[in-house]
Amino acid sequence: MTVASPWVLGVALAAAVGVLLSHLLSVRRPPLFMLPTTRFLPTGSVRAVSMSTRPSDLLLLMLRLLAVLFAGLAFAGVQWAATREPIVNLVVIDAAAEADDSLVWRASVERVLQESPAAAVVLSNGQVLNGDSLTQAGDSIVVMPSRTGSLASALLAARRAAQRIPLRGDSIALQLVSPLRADANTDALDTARAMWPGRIAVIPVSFTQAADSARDRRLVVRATGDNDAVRAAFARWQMLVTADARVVRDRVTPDDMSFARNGGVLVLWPDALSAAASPVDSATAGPLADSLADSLAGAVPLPAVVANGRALVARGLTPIAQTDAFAINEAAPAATVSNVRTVAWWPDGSSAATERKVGKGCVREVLFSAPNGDALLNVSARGVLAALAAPCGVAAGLGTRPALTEAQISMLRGDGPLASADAFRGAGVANPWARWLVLAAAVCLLAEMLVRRKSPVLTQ
Amino acid sequence: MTYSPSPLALGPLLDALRGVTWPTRERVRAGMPGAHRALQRGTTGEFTEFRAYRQGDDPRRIDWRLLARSDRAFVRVTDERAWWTTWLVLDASASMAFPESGVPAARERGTRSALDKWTMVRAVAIGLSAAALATGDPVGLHVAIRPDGKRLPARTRRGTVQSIARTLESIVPGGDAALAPVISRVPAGARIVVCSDMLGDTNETLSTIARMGAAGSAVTLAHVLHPLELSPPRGAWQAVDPRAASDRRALSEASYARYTQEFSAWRSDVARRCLSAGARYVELSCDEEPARAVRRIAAVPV
Repeated sequence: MTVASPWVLGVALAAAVGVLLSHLLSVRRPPLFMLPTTRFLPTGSVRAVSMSTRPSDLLLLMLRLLAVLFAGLAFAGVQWAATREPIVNLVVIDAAAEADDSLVWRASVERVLQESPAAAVVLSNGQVLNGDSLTQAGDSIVVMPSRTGSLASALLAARRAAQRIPLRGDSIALQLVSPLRADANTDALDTARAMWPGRIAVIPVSFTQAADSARDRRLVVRATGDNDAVRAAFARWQMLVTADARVVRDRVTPDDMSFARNGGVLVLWPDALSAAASPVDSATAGPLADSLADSLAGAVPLPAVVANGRALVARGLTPIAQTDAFAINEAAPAATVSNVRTVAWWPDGSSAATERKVGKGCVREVLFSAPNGDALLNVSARGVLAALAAPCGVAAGLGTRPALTEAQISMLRGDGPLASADAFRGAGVANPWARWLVLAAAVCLLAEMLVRRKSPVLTQ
Repeated sequence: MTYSPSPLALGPLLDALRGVTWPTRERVRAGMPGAHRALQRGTTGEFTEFRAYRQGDDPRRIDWRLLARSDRAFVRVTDERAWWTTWLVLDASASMAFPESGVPAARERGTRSALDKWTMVRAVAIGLSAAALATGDPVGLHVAIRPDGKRLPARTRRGTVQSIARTLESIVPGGDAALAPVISRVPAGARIVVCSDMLGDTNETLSTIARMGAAGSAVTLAHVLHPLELSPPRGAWQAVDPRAASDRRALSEASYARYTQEFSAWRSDVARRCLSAGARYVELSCDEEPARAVRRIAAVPV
């Protein structure tokens, strides 16, 4: 049995003692006595204090005591639970916009859940995954990082989840999985942190650090024509190249695969005008092709490809499928969920460019045609180009992202005990026992009223 | 609790009063021949004295032997006897219905079982009527009760006692009928016995008694008292006046002495005023045998 407010129970016990004493020491009207010579008595109060060593009206006394005790138990928040966990785990994933390495995310979350099963996993966009529906350690857990949300929203989502999900423990251990970037320290973060009444375990996402930007990186673009837009773009944005990369626009050669196996970044970006790429069939493309077709007609906004928080919006961005000329030989491992990650997205979330690990390096397949004109020379193309030119397995960014300082992380972590589950049980999760205890108290009060009315009047 | 008159056994009561008469000391007014000496002297009664012959006396009343012996004319004078109408005036107000049935205080240890006040009055009235009829006096009855009271004319016929008994048995005391107007209806010059607890119109009743006494009536006030009024039950009680239910007062150890003192003083005042009015004052205690009370009232010549 647990008691949420022991002091309320103490008040109820004191009231019960008072009820008992009132049945021993009661001031009541004496019995009536018809006396014709009443006029010779002095006038005054007809009340008399009667003292008895045994309580009177035992039935009334019992009903009153039960009513007081039931009400006290109800308001004290008494609960009887068959099974109870002392600590309930809640995992919050800060899937901020810049967290674009799903493999790393997945590994971090799996590691956290393996260490302690969670009652729920909350994404920063508010989505709650019930802990019971997650697979146990060893199985793959599909947790797609959201492109929306922030650290502050992750904490608010955690609070809402704590109020919604049934809590069978006394304390809530909140584990925050986040890249802890400095840009997460928004004005709302302090307020959101203050709304969580307890200590937080901060688990930084272990991204592979970006390569030292001071080292010279080389990117070669092999194209058929001299006026290749991609070559011109990478020449324009050389500072975005952070890996030894080779962009192939015509056909893949065994030498290209060797380059990738030896640790290089091979980018397969077929030229839409060459036979290396074929447009995506509208019948199989689905809604994306339809939207693109409509966009070409000017009915809807222009297509876009998103990477690194920037959107490349331009005409001519059409989905393509790589032909056999860009087929990777059987020596390369097959693409699976565990070794393929997305480095650029269409607006509907589908992959616009993927990265597959090959040997020491990787192969990035670009699934959209390069826009004509100078679209790739604009600032908006920096995100896509940086993602394509980043080292393998690295969350490509426009330079090294600063992280939160130790003081900020310490503030985020907080000190003191874990959050109490009672803080979230208020209106959201009702105490089932309270209803029955209040009902029992009401029944006792009703019975007391009936018994009191039927008691003989204090007459002779 | 409600009041119900106790049954009264007439047989034992009348047997106990067999032979009891109700003489008088004073001379009554002239009337039908009876047992009491009348104020008026006559010639047909018992010889009492000789009186000198006066002009106008009947010469046939002259005692010739005394004339021969004394050579002076004297006439014989005798006492006339007449009956004296007796009226019983009974108070049947709510205060006479005491105590109520089943009162725990009535079962107080050490207290002789007492009749309730109305039953005691009934018994005394029947006993006095029997004594008066045995003396040859007519007996009438007045009962002060709402709405119009009860009245039985004064009679000497046989069955008068039973008639009075039946009338009284049908009455249940209640209400607050005034006693003084009922006393006023009694003809002057009669013997009046007022049986009441004097808790109603006390002042008016005493004034009427005084007036009736001045008019030539002989009034006896039988003040009915119950042992529970003289010694209320101990403990804490909420006393209620049956005449005024809203008047509730605490009866407890703290107020007991004050009550006893006040009640005793009031009784003494009533007795003094009654005697001052020329009436006779008798206290009737409900724990007394009714026959004994009747003897006590009738034995003392009024």
